[in-house]
Amino acid sequence: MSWIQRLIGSVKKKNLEDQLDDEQRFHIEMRAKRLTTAGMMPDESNRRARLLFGNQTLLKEKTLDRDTFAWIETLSQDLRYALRSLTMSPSFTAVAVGALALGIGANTAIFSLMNALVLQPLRVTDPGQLVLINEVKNDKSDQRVPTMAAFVEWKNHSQMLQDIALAGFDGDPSTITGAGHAERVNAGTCGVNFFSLLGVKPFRGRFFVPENKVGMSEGVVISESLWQRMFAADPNNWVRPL
Amino acid sequence: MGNRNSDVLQGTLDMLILKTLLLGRMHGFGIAVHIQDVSEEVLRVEEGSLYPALHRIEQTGWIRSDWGVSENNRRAKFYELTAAGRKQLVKEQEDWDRLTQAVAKLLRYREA
Repeated sequence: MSWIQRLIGSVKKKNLEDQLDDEQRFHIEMRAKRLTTAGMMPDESNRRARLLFGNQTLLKEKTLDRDTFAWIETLSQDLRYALRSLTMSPSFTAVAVGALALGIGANTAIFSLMNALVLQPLRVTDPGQLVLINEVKNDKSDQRVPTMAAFVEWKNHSQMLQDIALAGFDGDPSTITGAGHAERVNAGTCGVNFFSLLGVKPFRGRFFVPENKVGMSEGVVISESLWQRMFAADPNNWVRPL
Repeated sequence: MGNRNSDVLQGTLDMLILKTLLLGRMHGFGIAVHIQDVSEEVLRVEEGSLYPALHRIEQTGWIRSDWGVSENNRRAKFYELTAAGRKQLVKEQEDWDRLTQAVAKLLRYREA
């Protein structure tokens, strides 16, 4: 725990200096007394005792270095100097602070985005097993929506995939009503098995179940933020027709 | 050549201090006097240089200090060996013995 002592020593340096003075003075007095006892004149013994001790100031510095962290004092001097310089040229300071703020801000923004998109795994059961299937033209120039027939073929005959679900997101906003006012929201369509394939659980209510022969369902799934915004997070609201 | 004082060899001061404190709790002046007396003034520490060493050794935890009253009723700082210091002393003494024996062998060597 000696570094704690040194840290305390750095803060209470004055106290340490006083103690060290006492320690040195005691030593020199004891030596002088001995010399006097041996027959030396008091003045001469004082002088001689100091000589034997060596350079008090230098030795005090050396000892204090052992009891404190000298860099703390140096650091605080440097910081004070830096602050003074900065206040003396406010325009330079403004530019420097502005550049730092922009740099840090941009980095943080990019990291947040990359963190959400790339670094964090998708919140589904097994993100590594998830693939996106698309139909492309032979020359790979364009994508097209697979036909229902193709989808049924894939779903029934694929050896590689456990399950396949349809999902379409055309980006067209839809209108949602049922809470007293209407709101335009981004919506997409998906097959009834879409959520069970991903392995996610609904926060409230249930996901889709087939309601007719073709396996279509009429329900909608809304995000938690919409549920809170539009329906005041009312737990009974998920049974309401929208 | 009646007065042959040697500066205490670099690095041995720690060992001398620890060995001296094996006798018991002592203030800095006591340590200086003991080293000079026992070595019959051959080992003369520049007395002040004892204190940086004492404070350094204290930081390593081999000795600890507290303020007390000296034999002539003056306030003085006393140093005392810790358990870690005793261990360190044994180690340094072994190192020292090995070194001096090696040097002695070398000096006594004569071509056959």
